[in-house]
Amino acid sequence: MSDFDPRSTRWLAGLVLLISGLALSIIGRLYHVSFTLGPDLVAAAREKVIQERDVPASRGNIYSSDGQLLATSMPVYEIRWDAAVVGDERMSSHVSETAKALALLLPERNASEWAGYLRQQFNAKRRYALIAKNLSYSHYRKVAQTPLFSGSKYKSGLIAEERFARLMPLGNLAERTIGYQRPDATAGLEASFHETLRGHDGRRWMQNLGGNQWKPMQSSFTDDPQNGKDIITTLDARMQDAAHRALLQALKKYGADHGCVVLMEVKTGKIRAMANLGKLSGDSVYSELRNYAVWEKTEPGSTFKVASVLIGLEDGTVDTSDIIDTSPGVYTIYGRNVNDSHRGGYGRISLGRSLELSSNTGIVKALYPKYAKNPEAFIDRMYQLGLADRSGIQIKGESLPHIPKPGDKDWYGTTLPWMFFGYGVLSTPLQTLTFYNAIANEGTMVAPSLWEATRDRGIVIDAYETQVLHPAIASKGNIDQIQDLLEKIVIRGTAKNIYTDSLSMAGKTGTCQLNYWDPESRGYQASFAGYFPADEPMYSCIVVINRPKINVGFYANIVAAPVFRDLAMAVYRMTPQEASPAAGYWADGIQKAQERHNRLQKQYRDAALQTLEAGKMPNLTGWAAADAIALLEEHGYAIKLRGHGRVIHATRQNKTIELQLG
Amino acid sequence: MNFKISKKRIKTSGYAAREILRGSFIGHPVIIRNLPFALYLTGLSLLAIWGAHRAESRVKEISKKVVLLNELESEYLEAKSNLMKMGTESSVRQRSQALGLVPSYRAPARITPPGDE
Repeated sequence: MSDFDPRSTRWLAGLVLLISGLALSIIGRLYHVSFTLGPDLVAAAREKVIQERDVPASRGNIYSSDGQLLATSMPVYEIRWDAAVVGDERMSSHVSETAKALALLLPERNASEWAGYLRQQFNAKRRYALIAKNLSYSHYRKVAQTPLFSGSKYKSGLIAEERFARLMPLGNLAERTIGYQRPDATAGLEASFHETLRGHDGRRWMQNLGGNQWKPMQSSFTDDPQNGKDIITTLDARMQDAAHRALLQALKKYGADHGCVVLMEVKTGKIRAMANLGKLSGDSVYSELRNYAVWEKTEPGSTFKVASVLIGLEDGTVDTSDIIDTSPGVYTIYGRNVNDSHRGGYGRISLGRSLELSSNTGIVKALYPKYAKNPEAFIDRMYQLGLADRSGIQIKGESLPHIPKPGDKDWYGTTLPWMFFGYGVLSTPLQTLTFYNAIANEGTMVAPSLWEATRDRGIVIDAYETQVLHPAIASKGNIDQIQDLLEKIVIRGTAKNIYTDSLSMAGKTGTCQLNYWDPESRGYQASFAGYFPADEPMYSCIVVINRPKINVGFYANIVAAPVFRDLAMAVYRMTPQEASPAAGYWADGIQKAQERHNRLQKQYRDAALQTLEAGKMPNLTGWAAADAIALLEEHGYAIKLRGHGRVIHATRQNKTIELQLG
Repeated sequence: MNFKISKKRIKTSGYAAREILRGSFIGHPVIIRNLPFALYLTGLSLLAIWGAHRAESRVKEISKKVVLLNELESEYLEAKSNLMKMGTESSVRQRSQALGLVPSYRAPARITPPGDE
């Protein structure tokens, strides 16, 4: 140290050289990084830190026509557990208590299974152990409040991942009709209106701030996002509830396999309720599994007789007053028997009565001789009635009706007569209902619709207009005759058990044998199609119940018709009837009460006016606030109000009156 | 290792280094003249840095609020869904059965008093 001379600059020169060397090497390195490695590094950084990212559009909601929310997107939570961050003491002191709580919240494991599972994950130091999926917010909060999982995530190890899922606030009501849109499967309105509901995802350049946080780099989007539009369906939540309830009750009572109910507004074709319930084999709980109303085509059975008689009437080949001998209840054609459900038949009855009693022999005996040699005439008329077409409902997967034709390989001598009472023909419940709706609608066939309107940010941008499929499927006179017969079926025919004097109904029962060729899988399908009120039809409705237990009951009037009545009554109760009381006790009483009320009001007002003019404060107790204010302001008082309702107390200070309401 | 560096050069470079370390160049007239502009630039840079930090904290704040919003939305929808289910006629029927109440058999009538017509 002794020969160190602070004035000497040698060491300083060395230092400067060293620093310069370092600086040069840094500059060299910088050059290398910027220009040699640069482009690749920039690209890699851009990929990681700066990205053009999707800005997801939110999916539109689905509403019922009465404004209830039927489907919306809701955050759901997946809960995972990082067992590695949990301390030994925390684990040992909380595990059993947490397991007990989890067993109540997530019952797929019992308390000891939960304790075992948690210990196993803890011992293995799992960092991402699954606790539960698809939890609602409140459910997730409850899990997060259990002793082991409560507190900061760095101590509890709880990881909650959020994603959006579709929620149907009304539970399983119209679940299948509303449907779903998933990558692997689609169904119902969610699928049909997917493009409208989904909106359009936007894109924007964003910078990563660490974690999963992204900062927009520009104020504008490279592609603007557009949120999905809302779909308003024609479904009415109250009517849907009534249909669901009535159907479920019948399915349970008769132990049926499945069934459906569709309720349609006669004039517009708008479907107000569509319930489909079925159960998986071996299961006892009914749920919305398939849209039977749209998809399932079966032989309609006796509900088809109405079409057969209408064809005969239109062709002029039969008349409802034609007398037919239905004895002995059996009619043999080509060695096969047409049987009546009533042994021995019904004797000599008119064709109209045959329809009322649903006599197979009556219908076949009346029609068969007229069409045996010219079956094409009958088939052509079926096409004219629109029975061969799809209804065009906005749900994917509607089946095409099947109508056999002469010349088909499955056309036999017995095909035509069996068609008269609904065998050999195939149609879906909705297609049958569309036909019955046309009868209720004075012969005008309108297309059924589940879509009422599309709404964008609260404004209706597109709305459904009724589509007429056939302006007149038959002449007015013949439609009137059929309407009359359908009403008589409920008054005195096969469905007289559902008659009620408070609501007029019209319709046709149909008990159809399924798989009659196979004793193993034989069963019945009970249906009822009709409309109400019979005199001024507002709604048409079909009920189809498949495979009720034969020992409990299988006839349509017992199994299906009561569902129709229950729904019709429920809908009728929802519609207040305008009633002007007839002259007499009620009308007079109401009028007198009204007059007395008006007289008293005038008296009070006059008295208050006098008091005010005398410069005193009138008694305003019990007055409606609006009346009191009007009177006092007329006399130049300023009013102060407190509370809501009627006046309970009034105080005056010079020209200001304070009214206490309550 | 025998460098031959002239004394004069060492003197000069030593002087330059010393001057840099002393910071005496700060007093150079060119720098003094441009000092307000330099301060202005510094101010601008600080402003830009502050803005960037603020934007980042906003983004973090927004993402926290979004989580909160989703949680509240989820809670609201759950409550709404429960209310809707409880409000259906089927549910009211079931609960009112215990009270001995049944739905009316007839539709409600809206009576219009003759005087109001």
